[in-house]
Formats: sequence, C-alpha cells, structure tokens
Amino acid sequence: MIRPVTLCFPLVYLILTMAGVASHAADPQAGFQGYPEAPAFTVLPREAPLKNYPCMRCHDFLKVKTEPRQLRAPHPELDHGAGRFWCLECHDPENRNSLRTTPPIATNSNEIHTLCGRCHATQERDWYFGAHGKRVGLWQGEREILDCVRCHNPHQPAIQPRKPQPPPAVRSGLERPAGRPEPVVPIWEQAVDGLEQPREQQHE
Amino acid sequence: MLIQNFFRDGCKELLRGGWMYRLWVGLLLLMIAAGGGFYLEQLDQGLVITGLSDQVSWGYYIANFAFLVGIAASAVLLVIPAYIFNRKDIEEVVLLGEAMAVAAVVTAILFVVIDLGRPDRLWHLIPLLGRFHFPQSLLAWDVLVLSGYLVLNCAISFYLLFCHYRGRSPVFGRYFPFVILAMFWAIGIHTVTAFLFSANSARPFWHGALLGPRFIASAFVSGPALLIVALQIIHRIGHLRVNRSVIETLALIMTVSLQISLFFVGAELFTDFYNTGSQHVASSKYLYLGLDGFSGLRPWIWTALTLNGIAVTILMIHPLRRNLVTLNTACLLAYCGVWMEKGMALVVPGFIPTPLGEIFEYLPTVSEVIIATGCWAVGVLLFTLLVKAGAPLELGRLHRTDGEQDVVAANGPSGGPIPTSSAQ
Amino acid sequence: MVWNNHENSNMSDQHDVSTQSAGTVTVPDPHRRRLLKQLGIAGAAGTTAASAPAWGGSTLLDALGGFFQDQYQRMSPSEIEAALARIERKAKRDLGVDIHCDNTPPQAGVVFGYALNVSRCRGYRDCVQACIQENNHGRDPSSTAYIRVLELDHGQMNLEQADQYYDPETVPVPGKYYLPVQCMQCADPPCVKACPVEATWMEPDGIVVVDYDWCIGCRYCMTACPYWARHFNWKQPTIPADQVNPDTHYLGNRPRPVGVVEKCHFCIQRTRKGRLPACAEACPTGARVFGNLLDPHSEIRYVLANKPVFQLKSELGTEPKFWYFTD
Repeated sequence: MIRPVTLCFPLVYLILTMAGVASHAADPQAGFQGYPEAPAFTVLPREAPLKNYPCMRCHDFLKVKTEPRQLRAPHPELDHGAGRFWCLECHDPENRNSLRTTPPIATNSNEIHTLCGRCHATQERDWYFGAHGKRVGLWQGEREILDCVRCHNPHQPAIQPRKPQPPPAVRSGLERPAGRPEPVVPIWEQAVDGLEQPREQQHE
Repeated sequence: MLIQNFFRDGCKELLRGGWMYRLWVGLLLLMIAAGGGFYLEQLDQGLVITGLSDQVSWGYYIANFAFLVGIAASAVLLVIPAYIFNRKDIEEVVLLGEAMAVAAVVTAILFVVIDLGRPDRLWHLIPLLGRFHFPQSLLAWDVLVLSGYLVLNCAISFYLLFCHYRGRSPVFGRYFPFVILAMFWAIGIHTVTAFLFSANSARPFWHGALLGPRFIASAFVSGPALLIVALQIIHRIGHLRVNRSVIETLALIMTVSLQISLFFVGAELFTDFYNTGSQHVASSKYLYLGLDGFSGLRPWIWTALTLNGIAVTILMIHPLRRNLVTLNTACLLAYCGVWMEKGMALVVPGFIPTPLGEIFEYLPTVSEVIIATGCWAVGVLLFTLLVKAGAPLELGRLHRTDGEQDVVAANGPSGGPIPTSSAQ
Repeated sequence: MVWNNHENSNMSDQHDVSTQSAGTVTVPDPHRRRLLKQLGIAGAAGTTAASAPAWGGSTLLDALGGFFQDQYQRMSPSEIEAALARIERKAKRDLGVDIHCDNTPPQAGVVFGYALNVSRCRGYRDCVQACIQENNHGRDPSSTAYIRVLELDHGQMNLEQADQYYDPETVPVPGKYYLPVQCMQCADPPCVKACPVEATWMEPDGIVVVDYDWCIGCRYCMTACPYWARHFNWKQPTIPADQVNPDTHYLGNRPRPVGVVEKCHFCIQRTRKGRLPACAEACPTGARVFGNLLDPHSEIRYVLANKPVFQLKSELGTEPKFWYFTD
C-alpha cells in the first residue's frame, strides 16, 4: 500500500525546491543538497519579527569593517563557538539582511538550518529526519517543525537552566518521606580494593 | 420440608445459650458494627481513609486476606488424617475444620471486597454477566478457587450434618469424592494466592518459586495452631469431646511445618543477602535491615521471627509439646508470628521500593484497622455460630423431630433442652 | 502554555457556572435544581437527586444506567452513545462544565510509539504540567500525575538512587541527568493480564486503555506494572470549572470517578485525531518523538533505526513501545 504521505512527498519536495529551501541545489559550488529521503516538512514561520531587523537600516550607511572586535548594543552578546568566530561567520558582510553559509551562499532566516548545519551537521541531519528539534501540531499529515532558532538563540545557543515545574504530590493525607537515598559515591571518587586510589584534586 | 426444618432447628439452636455465649456474640456484633460504620465512611470517602497510596497500593486488608486463605487451606489437615488414614478420633472433629475453613474463606473474601475501590461493581466478576478474565488473571483464579472452596466445604458439611439430622449414616460414595477434591482444592487455594503475588515480575520480592511452598508451610503452622486452641475451647465449653490424640497429631504437623517454614525463610535470606547489592534485595533489605533510613517493618519482622523461633523451640522439645500450657503458648506465638510474617511483612515490602525506586512507607490508619477487625469479627462469629449449630447436629443431640427418625444417634441425650455451652 | 490550544468553545456556557460555583466542585443545591430542570429530568428521581447527592451526584436514572453499564468493548453503538451522554451530564452536574466526550476509534494502520531523547531532557517537568491540564487530573495539591521525571546521578542507572521529587532553583543540576517515566504501552502488558474483569486492554493502535466505568478498583494492575505507571483515585478528584479540558474521550481524559485506576493513554483524545500528545507538545527541548511505528518514514522509526536506544526494564519482556535514546 502506498501511503498518502509517501505520495505527496515528491510534490512537497518540488514545492520546497521552488520556494527556495533547496535553491542552492543548482549551484555547482553547493555540496550539500539536503536529505531527499527525509520526510517532507514545512518550517513554522518565525513567531515575532526581529527587533533590529533589517540590519541594513543602519548598515547601509556604515562602512564594512571585517576585523573582529567587541561590539556594543544593539548588537547581541555573542556566546557561540567558544570565541572561534564572530558576526561575519554567519552574517553576509555585503548584505547583512542575509546570512551566508560556507561556501558563502546567501540564505535568509527561514533556511537557518543550512547555516547552522555547516557546523552542526549531525544535528541538522537528525533535524531533517525528526530526531532533533521539535514537531508541532500533528503527528500525522503535514509535518510542521520548528527551525533551529526557535529553541536556540543563535547568539547564545545553549539552553539556559531554569526553575522546574513543581514536584509531584503524594496521596492526600499522607506525607512525602523526609529521607533521601544516600548518595552513591561514584567509582572515581571512592577507594576500592585492588583499584588505584582516587587522586587529590589537582586543579583549584 | 425436611431441609426447612433442618435450618429452622439449626437457627433455633443459635438463639439458645448462656450469658457467656450471648456476651461473646454481642461483643463480636459490636466489633462488626464498629467496622461497618467505618466501612461506610470508606464507601463515602474512598480508600483515602486508609494508609494506602499509589506507592503501597495493597496493605493491611490484603495482608489479612493472604493469611486467612492459609487458615482456610489448613482445614485439610483434619480432613486428610480423618478420611485417608481413617483416624476415627479426628473424624469426630473434622466438621470443626470444615467450619473453620468456611469461616476463613468468607472472611478472606470479605477482606478482598473491602479492599476494592468499587465494591458496587463486584458483579463484573460474574462470568457471562460480567467479564471474568479467566484464565489469564491470577485474581480471577483466586476468585474461582475461593468461591469453589467455599461451595465445596459448605456442601460437604451440609451433607454430613443433614445426614446426622436425619439420623442416617452418610453414604461414603456420595461425599468421599468431594472430600478428596476438597483436599487438593485446599492446597490449590493457597497456591493460587501465593501465585497471585509471585506472578508479578515487577515485584522482585515476591517473584520467586519459593513463595508457594512458603505459603503452604506457614499455613500448616497457623491453621493447626488455631485449631489446637479452638478445639480445646470447644472441648472445655462442652460442645464436643475432643480426643487428646487429635491435639497431638496437630501439634506434630505444626512442629514439622514450622521447621520447614523457617528453613524456607532462611533459604530466601541467603539468596537475598549473599550478593551485596542487586535491585532484587532492596525489599528484603528494607524489611530485615532497613533501607536508606527507612525501617518501619524491621521490628515487625524480627518480632515475627522471634515468636516463631520460640514457638519452634517449644514444639521441638517433646515434654513441652505434650504439656498443654506450653503447647498453647507455642500455638499463640506461632499464630501471631505467621500472621505477622505472612501478612504485613510479606505484602508491604513487595511495594517498597516502588518499581521506580521510591521508598514510601505504609502504616495502616485507625479506620483501616477497625474495619479489618470488624471483618475478623465476622469470621469469628461465623465460626462460633457454625460450631454452635453444628456440634449438636454432629452429636445427634439435634435431629428431626417429626417422628420419622430411623436410627437414634448413639451419643448425646435425645430431645430435651441441650445443656448450654456456657454453663461451665 | 504556548502550544496548548484547547478550543474553549464552551467558555461562554461555562461562565455563569464557574462564577456561581466559584471554582469548586460541590454544586450548590439551587444550581443543581436549575440544572435538572434544564436537563428535563423531573419527577421522583429528580427530587431525590436534587435534595442530596444520594446516587453519587447523579439522578436515579443515570445512577441505574451507570450501574448496569456494560464493558466498553461489549457495548452496542447506542449503549455507547448513552454512556457518553451520561458522562457529559455528570460532568455538568459535578463540575459545572459542558464537556464533549467521544469515542474516536483507532486509525487503521497505526500503532503508536514514543521515543524520548535522554540527552535532551533537562528535567523542567513541563510535560508533567501539560499532562495534568490536558488529562483533567485533580487539581488539589495531592492529585496524581502520569509522568514522573526521575533525577539520576551521572553514571547511574539504578532507579533506587533516583529522585522524582527534586526541586532545586534551576535544572539541570550539574552531575545529574533526567529520565521521565510514564506508561510504556507495553506490547505484552502485564497489567492487562492481571485485570480480573478485563477493564483494561490494548487497543488496535497499541494504546493500553482503562474503562473507568468497568474497573472494580482491586489495584492488581498497579501491582503488576513494572513502571509504576498506574495510579488510583483514592478519593474523588476535583477540578475547578475553568480548568477542565472539555475535549474528552471515553477511554482517555474524561473526568474519572473515585475508586478506579487510571494511567497514561498517549492522549488518546488527541492522538487519534492526528494531534501530538500534550507532553510531546509541551516539551521545550524537543526531547520527545511520537509517531506511527507502522510508517517506515515516521520520525520514530528513524530514531529507532539510527540512534542508540534502550527500553526501561526490557529484561522483563513486556516489550515497551516507549524507547529512550541518546544523540
């Protein structure tokens, strides 16, 4: 039996190609062409417009300075890549409204995964196939997924710790036991007969 | 007509009795009323009035259930010697065993019913009318074997008593096949009850092949212990003459069973504790030693083992076993010991820790204990009434009075008021 | 709740109710009488029920209908219709809310599976909260939850060292990882085997469901479950009128009576209509992957084929349809 999802797949792929998701496919320089075997998807449009976008509102009048330096507001703080790169790794120096990939191909913010994927190729592959990222709405039919920046702030991509929701309750009239299991000392911190003794903490 | 008279005469017999009998029945009724009152609250509020939780979802009720099935099963210990080994002395009291079995089964079933969240839906268990999940569900098996055992024992007792009432001797071929069936059935009810627990691979504490044998062994301790004491009381009150040899046989069975039972406990302790830390020992650790600072049942199990230890010591010393005072002491200790061990100490640790590793202790509430006590009172009352009505029938003191009596019963004065039990 | 889009189409209807009953479940008598009039149930049954909730808060007719109601799988379509209508009436009477209760059947060619990325889970418990709201759990502080998030030390897989009550200022706590546990929808479910009255069974789409109107409350299934996924209604759960999710399913999130067992049902009221379960929708890290195991192109099948996966307690042979995986 051919499933409807399978049937509509080439169609959706065609539409996506025309819409520009795979617009670089025709480019001889472009090595990566997505994962055609991945189930078709649409990326949920960005929720809110960017505050300082378009960049060219200002940068039209400013000279391009390519050397890395400390930037102030309204530029966001950059905590990405552990200092390996800065703005122009992702933003097109000529047209800051655009992003660029390596090799430099202009992409817009709706194809952000092509940009992120140039470093995070494993995550990108998983994202195409559904093991990374987040599907919304329906498990069935049209596959709507969120793009990278819906969850990861591109300038500070690590997801920040936060307060968890309240812990579960116990039956009314009863009380949660006060005790906790005694913490197990990991093997690397305990002295075990026949094993090398744990070393003193060298650093600090 | 005759059957009607039989039941009418039996019921009349229940209304006779001295002040001690009346006081005893009154006391039991009071306990039943108290239990019933709290049970109404449970019906209204839900099981929230108990100490049970999602973590420990079975407790005091089911503990008593497991124990009582054992009492019911051990009636077989009077039946086997009486009918297989033709022990006439035991055959005389075999109906007491039957009465105990009936009372214990009824009480056991009662304990399951009060444990239900929706007793109003009990009819869902009736085959065809409801959906009886047989043979997959062990609980369905338990319902089947317990109700079957109840019917079987009621039928055998009724047949034998009715024959006595009519003044005829029972036809061997009519009841003996059922007696044989009841013997195997008795082992069956307790094995199935054990399998009810050991079937759960989710609960390593129960999930072992030894649980069934352990149940049988401990049942053959608690049952005779109760019988020995009950027979003496009945003998004292003067309902039935109980031969000393019956007591001695039961004491011997109890001695051997208690030794085996303790050996089984030891065997489990070895497998649990030889290796230091697998998940499977967590429940045993909680029970015997305490786990992560939680040790609610530790004094309980050690008390049980101590009681059983003292009991087995008394029983193994021949002069002490033959002395009624020490024997009764041993019976009391062993009975309490097994009740503690096979009750709470068996059911509750199965839930601690939970399958997700949580340690959440359980303590029955006052309401729960009162309801359970009410159930016990139902069982004791039932036993009292069955013996009260059954003993004169058995002795032939109570028989048909329509003048068509064929054979006059050998012992016991026929006609006339029966000497009241509490006269002494 | 960014993605929690309950269509509260009934809000206008509820409004007068929720203000009157001030968010409590016990409906005052005058209100009850008016309701009964609206429902057209008058006569002896009506007056009995109006004076006191003598039949568990139902009219005599509904109480009788409920008492003699057959097991779900054996009910005829008309009997199911009557049962659904009774549920809706009872919700109106007890909670003061117009709910819609249906019995959407399973889809052909669908068996649901779930995979959870342990390396993504950060222990926020958003899934737990979404589940409670979606599935009409009681809202008193002692109410239960289907999902338990276990906090474990790095290098540990011993559940006895797990803590499900963690409540630090921020999660994840350094040195810990998080393992959410819910019903595994086992393909060989020990709970189903245990039930003495067939009140729980596996549907053709692989969801293990409970007929809350057939369960006798013996709790043997709770004993049989290796994942502690089954929970009991120790008392009548209470939900404020404005927090009731009115989209319900007979085998799913409809308000439950006291004294019966319930469990995670993969949000049957949503998933049978193609929607994702509430927990998957609420997960802020995208750790949860849900889909059709029979569809070779589904995301879940990709995960099972390409990721290191494990099942919790797979050695028990219950064949969970819930997998854990890592990146």
